[in-house]
Amino acid sequence: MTGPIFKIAILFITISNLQLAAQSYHDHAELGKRMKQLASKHPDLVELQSIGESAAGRELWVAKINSGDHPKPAILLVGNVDGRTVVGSKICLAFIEHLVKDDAKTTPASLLKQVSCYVIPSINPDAAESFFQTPLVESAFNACPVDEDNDGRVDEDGVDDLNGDGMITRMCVRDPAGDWIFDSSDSASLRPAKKTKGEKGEYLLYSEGLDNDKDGNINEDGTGGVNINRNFAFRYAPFSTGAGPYPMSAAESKALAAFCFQHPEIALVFSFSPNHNIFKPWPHAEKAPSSSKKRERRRQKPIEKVPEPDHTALAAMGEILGKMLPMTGIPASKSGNGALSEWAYFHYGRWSLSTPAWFVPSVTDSSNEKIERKQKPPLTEYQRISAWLKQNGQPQAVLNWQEIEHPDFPGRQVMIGGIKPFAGINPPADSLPSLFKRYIPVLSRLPDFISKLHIYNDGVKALYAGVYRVSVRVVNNGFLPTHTVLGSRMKWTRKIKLALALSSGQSVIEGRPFYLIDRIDAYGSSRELSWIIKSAKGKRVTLTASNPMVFSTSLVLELK
Amino acid sequence: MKHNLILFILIFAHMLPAMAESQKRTPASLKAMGAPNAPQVEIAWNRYYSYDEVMEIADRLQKAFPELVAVTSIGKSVQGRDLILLTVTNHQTGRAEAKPAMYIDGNIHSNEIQGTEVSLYTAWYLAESFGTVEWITDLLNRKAFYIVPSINPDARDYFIRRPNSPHSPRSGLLPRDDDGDGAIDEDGYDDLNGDGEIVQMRRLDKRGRWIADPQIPNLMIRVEADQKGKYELLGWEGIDNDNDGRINEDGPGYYDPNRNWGWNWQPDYVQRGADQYPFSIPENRAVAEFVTSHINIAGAQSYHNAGGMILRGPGAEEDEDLYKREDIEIYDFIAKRGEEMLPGYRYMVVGKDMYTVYGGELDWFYGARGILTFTNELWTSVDMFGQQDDDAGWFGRRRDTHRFDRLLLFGEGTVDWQTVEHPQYGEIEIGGFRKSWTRTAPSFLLEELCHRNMAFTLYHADQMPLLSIDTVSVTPLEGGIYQIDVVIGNQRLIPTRTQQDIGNGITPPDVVAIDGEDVDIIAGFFVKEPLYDEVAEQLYHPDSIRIETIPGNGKAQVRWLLAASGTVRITCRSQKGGVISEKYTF
Repeated sequence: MTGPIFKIAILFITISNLQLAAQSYHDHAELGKRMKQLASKHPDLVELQSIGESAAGRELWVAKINSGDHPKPAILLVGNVDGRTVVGSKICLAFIEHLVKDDAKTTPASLLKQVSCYVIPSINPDAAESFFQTPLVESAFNACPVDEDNDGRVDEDGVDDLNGDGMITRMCVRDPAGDWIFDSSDSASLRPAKKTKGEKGEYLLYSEGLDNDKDGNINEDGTGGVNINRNFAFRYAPFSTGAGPYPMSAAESKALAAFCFQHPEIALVFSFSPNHNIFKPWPHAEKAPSSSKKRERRRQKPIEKVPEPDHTALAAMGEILGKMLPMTGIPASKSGNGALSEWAYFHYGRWSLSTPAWFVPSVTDSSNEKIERKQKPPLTEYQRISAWLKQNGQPQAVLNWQEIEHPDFPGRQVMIGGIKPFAGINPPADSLPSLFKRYIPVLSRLPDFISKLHIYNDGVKALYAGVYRVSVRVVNNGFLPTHTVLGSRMKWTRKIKLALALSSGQSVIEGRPFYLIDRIDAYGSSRELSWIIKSAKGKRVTLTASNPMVFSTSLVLELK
Repeated sequence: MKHNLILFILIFAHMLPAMAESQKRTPASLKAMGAPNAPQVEIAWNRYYSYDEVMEIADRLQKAFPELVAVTSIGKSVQGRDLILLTVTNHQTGRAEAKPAMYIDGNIHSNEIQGTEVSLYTAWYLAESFGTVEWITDLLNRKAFYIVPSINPDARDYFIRRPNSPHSPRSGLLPRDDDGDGAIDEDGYDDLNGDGEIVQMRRLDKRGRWIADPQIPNLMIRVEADQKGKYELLGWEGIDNDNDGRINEDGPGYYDPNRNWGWNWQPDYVQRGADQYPFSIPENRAVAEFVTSHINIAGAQSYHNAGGMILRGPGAEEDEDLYKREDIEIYDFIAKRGEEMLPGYRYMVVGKDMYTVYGGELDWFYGARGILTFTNELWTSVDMFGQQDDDAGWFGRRRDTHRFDRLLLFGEGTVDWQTVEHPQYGEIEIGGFRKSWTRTAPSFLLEELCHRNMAFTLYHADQMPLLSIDTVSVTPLEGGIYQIDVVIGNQRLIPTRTQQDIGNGITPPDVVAIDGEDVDIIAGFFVKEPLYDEVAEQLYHPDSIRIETIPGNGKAQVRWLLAASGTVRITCRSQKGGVISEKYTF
């Protein structure tokens, strides 16, 4: 089945799907289908690859969007870094769709003339699938079996849907030694008892489930897994929940790292993750790390804070992009043990920007002022989310506490309730288009930051008959330094290569065919270099300053 | 009929070597203590074997000792070679996985080759001595050995077959761009005179600061500050292949396979050689996966060269508090024994006594897996002239290595200075030590090195837990109820779980279980302090009492209250102590 009819049919299906697409989330199969459709519809622009497979064998898709053959710096976009956050995958997909829009005059086409975009919508597809399954249960783990309670058995005591409502929520058990109480102002709101203020707790809090293996613990060894965003090697916390047996143990994190190092042209990694730095930069190192070789050999301490000038550069990008994302209720950036976004900066040596994609905004009361300011004490996270859900057309996502009979707690009051899984994590599907409107300009802005090399002619001087000195400066006219400080000190980051090309009859008397430059700072910083060349008068030499992850340049000089 | 004939020939052909070998069983020679007098597999322990030869030796051992040696592969090297594993145990007394196991590897650094020979010697000696040496028979009945002779076979072969110096390469052969110019492995060493060795380059220079030693012309010495020299030294034999003004800056590899492990790994701006991310090197990842999935491994040993050291972690200051006193005491005890068995070897802590290492193999073994692990730096200057010299350096004083070469190797260890034309430097001279001298034992000392280091590792292996049910005591109580107390003993030094293991829940606890046709468990207890009768009741699954560890040369006690008749079986299951069981009849 080939020919125009088939193509029209595909086009029709694609268009109608795209119209629907914005209104719903996609499971792994659907996401893959859409990526394949985009690749087959735009073979000149989109190349679809799988960088590996998840623990459960799901493809880790990357769409490489690239126009033309000339080498370009690349931006890597990664979604679903926290496995529960499927909204990031949707923004990734929307960005691909935006990039392949046919109109050559729009921003995408000019953006793609400058850079390649590599988009990995989901780096933890096993966890993302929990958003689409019944019972609905929030999970950040891949499907790799882990013996969480170290009893020699794996995944033997996970959650259970006790009230048959198709979702796993919270479960409270009345107990004289409980830590939780219901708030007097909101009978549905369970919060920690303030013991210092004389309040006594009344309930123990669990996730919904049974003691399946009869070991006295509830849900202590559920399905999976490794949390990919805890498995990266930067500040990896061994033995912590979801960390996996060792850093980069998971197929997903290893595949991403391998992909990154196989693509030296990646200049910047933008990820949708809880370890964000757009709204507030990551902590700042007190002083630039010493680069003294002698000291390095003796003992170099691990580096966990961002040195200058990288901190300033990251903060400056964050300020520009943060203003384009007017959001309220921004959660604190989580401490990143084994987080992808920080790994991309500290261990991959690239510019790394991250945002959580979406979070529950600040809630407002009727007078349109922030409730948090007026109310005392401040709202708990549960109260804030439930208030927002109620105000924004999702009151059904705040579940009433419902009493059940629980076989592990005979004769005791056990209730199930809380907030519907994912309700505070991903926005309602119908609000996605407005989110895309915010993020597409942000993502489209990224190429503007990449450093731009320029070769400045400092003069060609005739020293003697047929002997010339060529002096140039390599200048970075971009927003960012060519390399991060740490990246420039990593063996696996390419240096800037300034190469001299001669034509026949010319030769170099002093100087090398090429020089390697470690890094050049932003805005006008430069490196001076010169050659003495033997050449007939009026002939030309070509100089090229290149590095895969910056905008390269060349200059032709006439020897006269 | 034709088929039968072929079959007969096949069987007969197969039997030939075995028959030939069995004929050698009654030799006229007097057995020297140590190696078997008439081994079933003849192997010369006075040379260094290529990968193909290592494979062949493994294969011969498996064929000669099918009930003791099993050869499998734990993964592939970068270039597709099998990382072969020799599992050595008496398979008739139980699967290797059900016994406490000692993991042994060698050759993680490509040029540190003799670890492979020590590993192979161990497999060979164990198999050959089983049934002859009672101590070895007992060991293989109760314990298992996982031996990976080379965890870096590509670069082992590269070291052996290609021109190299004693120090090259340290790296494996995963292709890497070391100088950031976009080209990969484009400027390594060059064998200028085609003799298969990479040696030093020197050039006559009126202002040079070096001269040849008057007594030992091959030895270059620096002149006094007020003296006139004759030569400048130009580094290792090689040319500037890529015209970037630097020589030998991007050879095959380059990373340090022993800085790539996933424990306190740091990128290469902190830890040189770390490579790109933990376990980016497939050979290391294969070992990590094997060790993680074989939780019966209770001890580990890695063989390097050189310097005569018995090393333990931590490699980095940050981990100093990680090593708990109880674990350190065991490390210390075993290593001190090692110092006696290995004259000239010193017991050292990597980070404290040597240098900082992030992402080292032995740190991962102990940190991530809780396994007591040593690294031996094989070969010491003491092996040359029997002189303990603490300032001699890892490879001995250069003067001594030259003297040893002259007196005992008759100059074979050195390439004499000779003139060659160098494309960048013009007329130069090249000379110096051959690759198989200074870090590797000469033929006549290799067998001793293999045996002594093996003996140390067998001592370590023997100290892995050996469990026994020491007592089963039954006290009748009123109403047909019994109290039954079971004491499990550990007859060796190493506990079933180290403090690192217990503290981080790395492997499951030991379990003492009771079962029978007619038994009602009323309650089960771990007896914390038998003297004061202090107990902890286990409310859930009281038939299987969990024990955190059974201490070295110590015991653990459990108790049940039960009603029973007939026969019950008491079983102790320990991941690193094996399974033991005993019956008791009421």
